[in-house]
Amino acid sequence: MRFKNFIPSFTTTVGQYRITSNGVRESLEKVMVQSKWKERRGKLPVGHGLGVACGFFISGSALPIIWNEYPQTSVHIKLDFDGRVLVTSGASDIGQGSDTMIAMVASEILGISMEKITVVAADTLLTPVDLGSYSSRVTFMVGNAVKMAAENLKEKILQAVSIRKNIEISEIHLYQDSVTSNDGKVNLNWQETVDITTAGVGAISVTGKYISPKLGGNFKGSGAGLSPSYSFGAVIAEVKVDNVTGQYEVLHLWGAHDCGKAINPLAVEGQLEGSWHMGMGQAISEGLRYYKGLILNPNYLDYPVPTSLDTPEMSTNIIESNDPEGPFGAKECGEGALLPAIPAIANAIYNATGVRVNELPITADKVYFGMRNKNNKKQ
Amino acid sequence: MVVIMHTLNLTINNKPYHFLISGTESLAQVIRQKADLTGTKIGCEQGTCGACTVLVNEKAVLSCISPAIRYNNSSVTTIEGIAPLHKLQEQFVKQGAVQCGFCTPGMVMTALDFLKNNSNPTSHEIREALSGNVCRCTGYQKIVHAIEEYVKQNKIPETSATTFKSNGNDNKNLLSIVGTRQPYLEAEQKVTGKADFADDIPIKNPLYCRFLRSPHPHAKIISIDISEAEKMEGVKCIITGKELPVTFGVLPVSQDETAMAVEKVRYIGEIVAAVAAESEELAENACKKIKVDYEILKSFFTIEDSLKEINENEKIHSHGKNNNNIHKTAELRFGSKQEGLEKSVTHSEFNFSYLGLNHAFTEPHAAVSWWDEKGLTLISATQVPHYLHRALAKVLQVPLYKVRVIKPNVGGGFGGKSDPFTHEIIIAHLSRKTGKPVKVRFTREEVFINNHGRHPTEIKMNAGTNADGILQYIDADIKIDGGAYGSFGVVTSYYNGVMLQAPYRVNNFGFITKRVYTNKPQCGAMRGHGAVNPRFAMEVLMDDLAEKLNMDPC
Repeated sequence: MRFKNFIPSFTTTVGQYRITSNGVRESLEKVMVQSKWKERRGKLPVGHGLGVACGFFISGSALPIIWNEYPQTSVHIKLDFDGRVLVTSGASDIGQGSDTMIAMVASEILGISMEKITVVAADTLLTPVDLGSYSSRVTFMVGNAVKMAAENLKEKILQAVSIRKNIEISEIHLYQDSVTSNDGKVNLNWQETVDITTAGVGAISVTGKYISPKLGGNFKGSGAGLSPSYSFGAVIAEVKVDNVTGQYEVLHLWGAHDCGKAINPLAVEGQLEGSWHMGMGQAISEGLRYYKGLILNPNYLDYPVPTSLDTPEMSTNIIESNDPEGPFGAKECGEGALLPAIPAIANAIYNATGVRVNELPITADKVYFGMRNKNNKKQ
Repeated sequence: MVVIMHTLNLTINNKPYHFLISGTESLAQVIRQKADLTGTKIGCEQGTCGACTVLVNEKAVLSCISPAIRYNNSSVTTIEGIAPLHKLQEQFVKQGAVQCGFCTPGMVMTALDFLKNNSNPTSHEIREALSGNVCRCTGYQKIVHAIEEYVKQNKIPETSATTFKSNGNDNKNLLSIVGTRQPYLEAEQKVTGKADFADDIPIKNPLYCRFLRSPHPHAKIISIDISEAEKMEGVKCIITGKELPVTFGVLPVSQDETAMAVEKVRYIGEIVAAVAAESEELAENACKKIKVDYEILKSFFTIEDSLKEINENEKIHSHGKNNNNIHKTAELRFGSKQEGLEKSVTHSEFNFSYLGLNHAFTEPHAAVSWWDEKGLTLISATQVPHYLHRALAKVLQVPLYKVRVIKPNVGGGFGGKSDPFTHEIIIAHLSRKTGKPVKVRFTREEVFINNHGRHPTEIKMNAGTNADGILQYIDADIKIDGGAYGSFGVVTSYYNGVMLQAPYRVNNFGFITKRVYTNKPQCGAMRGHGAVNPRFAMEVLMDDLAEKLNMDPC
């Protein structure tokens, strides 16, 4: 039924969101094949269940929190005599790997190795503004700004070499730490290239920025959820429920997420697995409890985050739909993947028991009472 | 107060140390503060997260709950003692087992201890061994794989070491770096414990800040008496809400919070006063000497109560236009529900309810600040240095060009570090008043009290399809419990609805979200902001509709 309802790529939603790339079909197909959905669902041993769900999320809020005309992010790159490429950005790496992403994008565009690139980030004195690590915006927006800045630097380098060597820009390339010409007459190593570029002008500074295109409708509230692109995904969960006690185990999660393009697949996998794990926490155990405003469980024992033992092996699939506006086609992967994990688990429990628990977290007692009520009705 | 000091002899990483300590100091405190080995992290001080794991006499110990005095004449190995880069650490880096890196040193120590006794573990045994170490970033998968890979490597003779995946360009693919598996730039620093998080940064002669928090969910502050606390030796400065009355909030439309409670408290745990003293313990003791007189007000704990009509003086915030505790109503309607109903042959409707969530990142909030001729510098575990910069300038009433915010390594955020926070403003003010650097680190309990997590939510949602299973309408009635302040709540209110307009095509779609204030810690943004709870509802409805139509839910 989901396949019949999926919104296509390159369309607008009812609330006038501009959908660009959309890998939701591929995501669902992938997890169906991997989990052997068609072969296994309905034929599992008693107490086992398979459930499915899909997801959708923004890839960066198109509007800044504080309305002004400053770009959503600004990036500076400096090249000086030592050949070090200093990228400064306000982007806040909180463990998601944005510093590494910045270095990778700069390295890719400039054609120089990552070790020559130094990233200085998130210091409001030294780095230009980035709005922060929220709304899954950093890779999309900062990635684009780094790309622009690196392209600007590359142009300056090639221009300087072009003038010095008296050769058309279109005839020379910056690649693998050197500038070479098609005819082979120019072959400069990085330090020679840097010396030519800085000659007479000193350190070179370039900038890049990202500003969202104008999007959305003209009604009040139309700005909420506007994003230059959207991510999609799907999860299938398998659970095993004890039909006497209602206790259950999540046996496996098959997940697929359309992140446009994985700039760093190692980091993307980490984001996806972490998201599914956190979603599982909300599904199975996490929840804040209060008594007359006093929090009852302010610790990791009473607020149970799933441990390594509670967490099943996950099958991690990156779907690449190549977004036309993301840097190298990339869009978000840090938040949206979480969404389908929770309903996939709930739907799997229903598949296993015939019990719908619509209260999160789905603790064993709720499953137990659900099964008991169902049995009572039968009798 | 006379504190009896004891001599403690320890060998840490093969180096002898002699410390003078009080009987209450934990091994983690001694390691971090007295031996300056900050690779050992403090995540909970409850023995529940494992970030502080060290080896004592070759056995793994949770140093945050171990009195140091107990280990006199013992030999301690911390992450810094695993030198230079253990092959297990190498695998952590290569396999992407390091994200924020805060749990990593403890994880490595636990794994090393476990592998000593079981050099050929199964995946299940590894998961069992790590089950006392919380990681909130990775879902554990890459950590387990790193250990498995290390075990595998150890079995193979040295000469046949792994072949590395080449990053080189084969000319078929124009991209040479983008698309390759790159360990984080700083992964090696994190896995060896060298990476500095906010509480690890060496500061000369800092003061330590602790807070007096409200024991009442809703009460008027009649008076605060700090005179006794002020007289205590080592106490340098005490401040209360009246000194910092300017409001702030991450959203321009919700500037409803002050650095400390000014006229009344709105939740249990709200900061009423702050002390800067020469040690955390002194600051904590001084807080206990502050006397506050409260006049108890009627409290609101549930969505239901906060929706009710009330008297003006019962409102949690006076700025609301309505005579209730509703903070925000967001409503959008597209197409016509009536048309959707008419075209549908199958309907599904459920009520859903959700407890609130906390981000539970492993690194508790921490910050340090100081002033010099350039103005304020604040180093903080934040996701939003820019918005924090603006909030500091606003509340402290200094020009924007006199503020500098630095984000060091941050031990996870997930939205829980994406607001400017009261503690950041408070220590900035305390360091301005005292002329000294001021440090603060939350306890795990304070992290939960500070919250800003996912809203407790109630959703009534219905949807219908035609006989072919094509969606004809979605309608959602959503209520979210925002706690005592606004935070990102206005955005959350919209996201709860608008994020339902894909991935399924729907032409008749409407929602209404009401966000209420209650006398509980505030809620804000958490991973998947606002979209998570309605998505759960929608996907359950899809499952139910498919079943009713006897269709495969896929």
